[in-house]
Amino acid sequence: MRDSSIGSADGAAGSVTAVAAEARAADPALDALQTEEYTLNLGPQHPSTHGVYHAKLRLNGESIVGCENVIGYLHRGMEKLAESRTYAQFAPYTARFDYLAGVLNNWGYAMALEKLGGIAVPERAEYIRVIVAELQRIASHLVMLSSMVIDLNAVTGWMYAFTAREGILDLLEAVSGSRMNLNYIVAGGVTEDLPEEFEAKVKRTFEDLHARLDDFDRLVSGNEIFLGRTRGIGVIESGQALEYGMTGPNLRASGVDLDLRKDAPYGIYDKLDFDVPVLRGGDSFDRYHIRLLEIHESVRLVEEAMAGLPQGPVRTKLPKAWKPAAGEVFEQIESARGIQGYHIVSDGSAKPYRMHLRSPSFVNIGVLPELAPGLTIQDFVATLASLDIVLGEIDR
Amino acid sequence: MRDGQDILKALGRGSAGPAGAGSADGDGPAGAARTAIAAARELAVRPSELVEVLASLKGLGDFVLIDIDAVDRPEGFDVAYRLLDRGGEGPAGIFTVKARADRSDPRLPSVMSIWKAADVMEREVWDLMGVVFEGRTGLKRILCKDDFEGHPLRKDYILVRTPRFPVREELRPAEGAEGGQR
Repeated sequence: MRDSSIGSADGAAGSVTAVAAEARAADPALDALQTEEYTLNLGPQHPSTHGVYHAKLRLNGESIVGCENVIGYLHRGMEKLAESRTYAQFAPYTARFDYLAGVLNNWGYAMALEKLGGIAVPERAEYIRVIVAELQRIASHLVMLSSMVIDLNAVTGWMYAFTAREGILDLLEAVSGSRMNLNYIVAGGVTEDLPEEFEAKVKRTFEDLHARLDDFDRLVSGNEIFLGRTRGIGVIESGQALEYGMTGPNLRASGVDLDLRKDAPYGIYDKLDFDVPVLRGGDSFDRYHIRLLEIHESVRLVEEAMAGLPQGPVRTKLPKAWKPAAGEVFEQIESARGIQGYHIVSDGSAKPYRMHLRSPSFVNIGVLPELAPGLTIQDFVATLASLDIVLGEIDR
Repeated sequence: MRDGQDILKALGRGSAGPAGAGSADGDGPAGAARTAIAAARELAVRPSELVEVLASLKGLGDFVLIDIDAVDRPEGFDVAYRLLDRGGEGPAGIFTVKARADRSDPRLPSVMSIWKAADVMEREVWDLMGVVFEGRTGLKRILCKDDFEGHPLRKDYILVRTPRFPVREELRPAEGAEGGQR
């Protein structure tokens, strides 16, 4: 692939090194030349860092020799805020953790509260939760796909995926009234039943989504420049991924078959028929590709849950001043980026004694200082994009 | 009171001494430990046992460290290590190992040598809760800025409202002046 003119021009990482090696072989005196290492601050104000992520890179020419993650620019002290709010008051804050997958945050928090208080969830609500959560997962993955290709200068691909995402956000808006920061899944069920004509709307949106994804796939997945910049770049071995506690699509792209929806089913996932895509390469391309495959599985899940949607109530009402018994819970869900866990400690009052979020992105970026050395800057950007981080949940 | 005694025993730790190789179910110590873990889901250990227990759990092959967090209680800091039990053939789940650090001088051994993932997690717990992890390097603030004082998630941390736009001293109204306070 690198033989073609486009591939080799773009796959600069390999060719620059090769040219340098050739030059050194031709003139031994070049070996004596030392270049000075320097520091480059990538971010926090840089579009390719997806928010306010900041990497302090040590560089030798184009090559990275050291990388340090600097985070905390978006730290809002949410865990401390939770301690001075009632359980219901804190619920809307949760969507601001992972703001690209708001409703999945809602779900994790609601599940923790339900376990803490022993609250039953009506069956219809469980189905609606899967529908809305999988729609949210599609929207989140579409952002990942589009932001990854625009990081690699593919502006057209970005527009395709973002337009498709807008269709999904319209559905979420129809359900909850809010495009991004939903407060829809609450302890005891969901806030409201699905709107009229929702099924028809979903059907239309999915037709559009399929068409756009096919276009996107044809535009990007086989594109030589895209392949040249992502194939074999930023490879994370399965053992390394586990060592760093990585979860979610990033782990599954490294060949580890672990998806809580399948392996520790919550809600009604055990009643639904779906596959968990697992890829073996562990490189940036596989992390991109697995999102594309997961979108199709999520579409399947939404359609299945739609077909099986039972009638009935959608919410178990809780008293206004809800006080769970003293105790603590840790509940985890499979979010769009990995395992999201809520640790809630109750002392019997109306406010949590302690609330902690286990956020997948926070742990996933831990691998970068080990992964970055040896990469060039453009490879680092591709690798970072493929890890799909959200600073809202990293910094909390 | 420590309900994890059988797990410790199966792992070959704790007061009961090492488990014999010929354990009852024929699976050896690892099998016995898996059975005990499946029943308990949680284990409280002394800080001195922490590293050994976590290393033994890692040795069983299915456990991955996914989170460390702490709760500030009057009795001390309860630090919880969440291990993802990949479950082998069975269902996955979370297994929690807890250790309590002293309230006045909280110190725990670092587990970074067991799982590299512990690096960012320990830094977070130190930053927000002030629990010192010993035997590692680079324990510095991660979410708060470097010159931040105190550990904000502690219960005795006093929240002070900082003015959004700091008022320069010379512009501050004189003591007792009218209309200076909002």
